Amino acid sequence: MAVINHDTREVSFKLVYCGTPMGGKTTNLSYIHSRIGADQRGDLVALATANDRTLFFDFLPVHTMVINGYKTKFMLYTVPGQVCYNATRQMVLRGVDGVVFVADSQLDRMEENLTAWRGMIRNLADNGTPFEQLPAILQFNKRDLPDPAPVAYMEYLLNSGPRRLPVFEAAAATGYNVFATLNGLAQDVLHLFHHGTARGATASQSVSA
Amino acid sequence: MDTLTTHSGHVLHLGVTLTQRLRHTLAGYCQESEVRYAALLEESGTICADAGDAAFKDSGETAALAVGAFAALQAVARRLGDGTFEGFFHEGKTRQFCLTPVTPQFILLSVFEAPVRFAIVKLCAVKAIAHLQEQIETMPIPERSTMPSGVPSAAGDFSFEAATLFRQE
Repeated sequence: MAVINHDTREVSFKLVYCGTPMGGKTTNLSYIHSRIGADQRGDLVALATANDRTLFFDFLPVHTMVINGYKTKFMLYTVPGQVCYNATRQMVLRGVDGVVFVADSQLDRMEENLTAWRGMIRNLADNGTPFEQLPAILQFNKRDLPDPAPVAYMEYLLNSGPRRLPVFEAAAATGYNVFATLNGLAQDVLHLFHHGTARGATASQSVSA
Repeated sequence: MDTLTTHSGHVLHLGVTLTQRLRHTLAGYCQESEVRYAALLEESGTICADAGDAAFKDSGETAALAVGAFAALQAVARRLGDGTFEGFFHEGKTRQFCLTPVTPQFILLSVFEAPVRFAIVKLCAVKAIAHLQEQIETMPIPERSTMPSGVPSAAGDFSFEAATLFRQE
């Protein structure tokens, strides 16, 4: 839920990175944290297990330009990917203003992509947030690995419904299209906020390698 | 802008007057209970109003963790069969804090130090929470809201298509 504080003249939005376990959600946030200006971000908070798997969530506050006199702040979260953490995912998705679904492009991860995708939509529905009205971006990550699944195939699996989402091919480990993904979602969220309609909700837009 | 606040399913508006009232309540609570810092948090992790020692305020990391911890413990309580959850208290050697529900959407964070006792804080919090609830419940609920009223629409003077909101260094 967007929160507008007219006293501090600040608008806050919550963006959540969802997706397959080990798909690169935390890597997206780590890259953003390492490459965004220190004056534009807070600390990266990671609640992880001893072997660096996300246990609860990662959190990174970032802020961008002042729009109409209001400082615009985005709170970036990741959810844990593993199946057993569904209750945690649902919790982190409360009050979300936009989601990035990070799909793993390795061919043997397609079933997990689908499971995570369906789980995300179910969790949003259970929270009373209809996915159809929520700004969302698909990121096909790990395009730098050998023999990634064809984009058309991944689109068929994840993006062939009535709502076609913008797609970004990415390699979060090298930073390729990590900022493009963030900017794409942030623009959609702001568009919805300022105009009352979701951008890119009907036409698919693909940013390729 | 002097309207109180508007509160809908998608956007929470915190008007100047309301924020000042909330802050005033929190400041009174800090003074009465000797809490060093108090903040009203919204469930998505945003600080709505705060009072006390500004050194405790950060870019939102503490609020996000507090809201997450609260939600997690509330879920544990529910799963263990307790439908009511009255928050929790951390007793550190020097610094202590508690998280208390105000409404299902808002949480009160109170940070205090020895020798202030939790029982006193809890007692004062009851009164402060009643005030906060009253202030929150007076929020008028609009049918729909997008831009905050009083703020000109960005359409026409800002192009989201062309703008790069975040730049990589």
